[in-house]
Amino acid sequence: MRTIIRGLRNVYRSPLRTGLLVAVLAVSVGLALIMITVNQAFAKRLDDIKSQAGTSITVRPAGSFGGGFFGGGPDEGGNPNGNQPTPTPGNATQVATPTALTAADITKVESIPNVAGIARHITVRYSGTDLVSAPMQGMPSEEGGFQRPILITGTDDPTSLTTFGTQDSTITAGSVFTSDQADQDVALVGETLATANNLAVDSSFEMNGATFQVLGIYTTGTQFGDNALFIPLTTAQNLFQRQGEIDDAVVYADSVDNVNAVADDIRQTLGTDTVDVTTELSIFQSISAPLSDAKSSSQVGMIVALAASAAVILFSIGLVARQRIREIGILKAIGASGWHVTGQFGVETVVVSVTAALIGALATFPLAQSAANGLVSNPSTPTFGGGGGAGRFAQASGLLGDVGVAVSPEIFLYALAIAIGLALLASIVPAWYVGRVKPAEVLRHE
Amino acid sequence: MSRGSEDLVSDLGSSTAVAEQLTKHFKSGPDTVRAVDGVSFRLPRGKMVALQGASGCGKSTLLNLIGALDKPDSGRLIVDGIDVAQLGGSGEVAYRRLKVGFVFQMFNLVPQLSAIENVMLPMELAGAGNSGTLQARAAALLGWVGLPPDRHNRRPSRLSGGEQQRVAIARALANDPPLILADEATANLDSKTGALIVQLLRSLRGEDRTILIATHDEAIAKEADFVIVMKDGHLFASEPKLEEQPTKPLPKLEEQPTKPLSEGPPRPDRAFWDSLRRGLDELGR
Repeated sequence: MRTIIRGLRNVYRSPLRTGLLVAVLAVSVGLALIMITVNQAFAKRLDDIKSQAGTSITVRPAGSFGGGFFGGGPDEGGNPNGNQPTPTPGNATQVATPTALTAADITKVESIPNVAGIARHITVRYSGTDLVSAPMQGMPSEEGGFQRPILITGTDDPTSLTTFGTQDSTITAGSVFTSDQADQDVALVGETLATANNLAVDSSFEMNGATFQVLGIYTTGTQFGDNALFIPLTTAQNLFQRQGEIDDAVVYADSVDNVNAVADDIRQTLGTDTVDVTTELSIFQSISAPLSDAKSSSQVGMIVALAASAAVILFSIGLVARQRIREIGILKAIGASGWHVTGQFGVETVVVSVTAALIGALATFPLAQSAANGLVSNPSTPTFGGGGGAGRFAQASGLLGDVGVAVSPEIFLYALAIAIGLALLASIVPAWYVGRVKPAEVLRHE
Repeated sequence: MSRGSEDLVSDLGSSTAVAEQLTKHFKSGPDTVRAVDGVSFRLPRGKMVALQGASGCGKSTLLNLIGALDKPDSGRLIVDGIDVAQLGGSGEVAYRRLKVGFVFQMFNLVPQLSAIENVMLPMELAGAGNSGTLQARAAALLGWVGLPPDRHNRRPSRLSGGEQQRVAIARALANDPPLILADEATANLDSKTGALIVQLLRSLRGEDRTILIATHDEAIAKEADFVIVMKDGHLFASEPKLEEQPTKPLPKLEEQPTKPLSEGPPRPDRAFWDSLRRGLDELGR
């Protein structure tokens, strides 16, 4: 106990030396803690992105990717309107399918390992008079002029309503259709479209000569997404005379880790000149690349900072021990055991390390967010043909802009662990000196 | 034929220490320095013995061997019944704490400790008493060596050379060892202060305390009860001088000690020794 007390007192007997040592060490430890905090924040955000990216893989006929609501961007040949709509019965046009997928294609995909499920869709732009398009905010009145088409999606997976790249559709009234209703004239109607046509749950409307019952109302939170409706896939195929055709399929891998492998298998099975295969994961990964780079940088920074901390304390304690080698000799000459001297220096080292680590931890709070912002550069914006991927991109980009660094109380545990680690490491120096110092030799050179 | 430790211990008689064929050589490049080259001697108990010789003759090495700061290459050394050459580990540490007190030329006080803390340190290391007891004994010792109370809490850097050496003497006395080793204890002091320190050391000798002072100064050697002359690692003379030594009046001290020197330094009480029992057990006593 007296050794500990003596060690504690010694720390405060040389305030200048202790202060300088603590300051230098605090900078190193603080930097390491900042890097740990930032690294954790980046890792968490990347996990968030990964989890939100999900396991879905979108399969479309080759050349149709990007064929969105307004006819899409340029196709591979540079034609700015390469995905010309195909006339369909009634007042609907088929969206962007040069050669639709077939049921046989989907059957092949079903046999690929690690495929957990497939959702099939056909998409039709309806511009008939049975339904009135919802008005758009900020747009001139459509009365007597341009009628914004209503997007009709036939799907066999009403649990995952995807329209305009948005998966986060929420049922606000009623319910979705079930597998028993796969060929029935039932519909889920977007909120603004329902309002524009005075539709509610259990009400009905006419479309292409068929009477549809409204099962549910949904919202996506977007004007385009809510000016749409979903009907069962078979109903849509029959209504628009597209039996056996699929415009796109969303294939679900059984885990995020298998997404890329399944996507590769689909490309290999159906041929890259037949289908375009895109994964949400790849989109998110390309968008989150700066975040990944920053995470790697913070990891390197953390290692460098820890190494610098170790070097600083080893060097400093080495200097101090060398300066105090005579004191070690004196202590041994008057009867201090090796343990006494090592313990005294050990306590001094622990106090210095812990103090520096605590100061470093406190400095982490105001500096970690700035460090995170400095490490994340602006992502280069990938170019999308339009429509489909835009919503997901916007969603992922939003994640990048909001890397909130939360300095948790956990950081003090890290600080403590670093302090103890450094103290143990640094204690090697005085222990080595104590073992090596022969009082007769040290005191002889007086 | 070399004699065993038991024989030497039985021969101790009125001696504090007995050495026989004690040897310590050092390598210095291609050369061998025969610092202590087969010396034999007896240190009479309760006397002040001067180890006189020029610088580099081996005085400090011999003191280091006696103080267990170094190990002899060969030979026997018995101090207060302890076979010093055979000590190791905890025994060596206990011996340094309890059997010898060192007074160095450069004082060798711990710079960041105050005067009183320096004196308390050997007692703390030995695990003696509680803090209050140690402080009281340290203050008494400092008083005895003549350090004014207002300087007890000063660090060595704020004390004069003479004051520092007084603190060093008080520290050497802390655990009441039977042997005080003073290595050129006055070499760094002016003559007046040096003379005072010699008188202080001289007054330490007592019934069961022996003083061995290494010096190159003949005037200091004359103050001793016995003089041993050392040259090139060998002892050349050991002459009893006690009876021939005229009694000299004590020089006037700069500061009046709390106790007259003639009474000797304050001795620890029974409780102090009881608290050191473990250390003594380490030495087999």
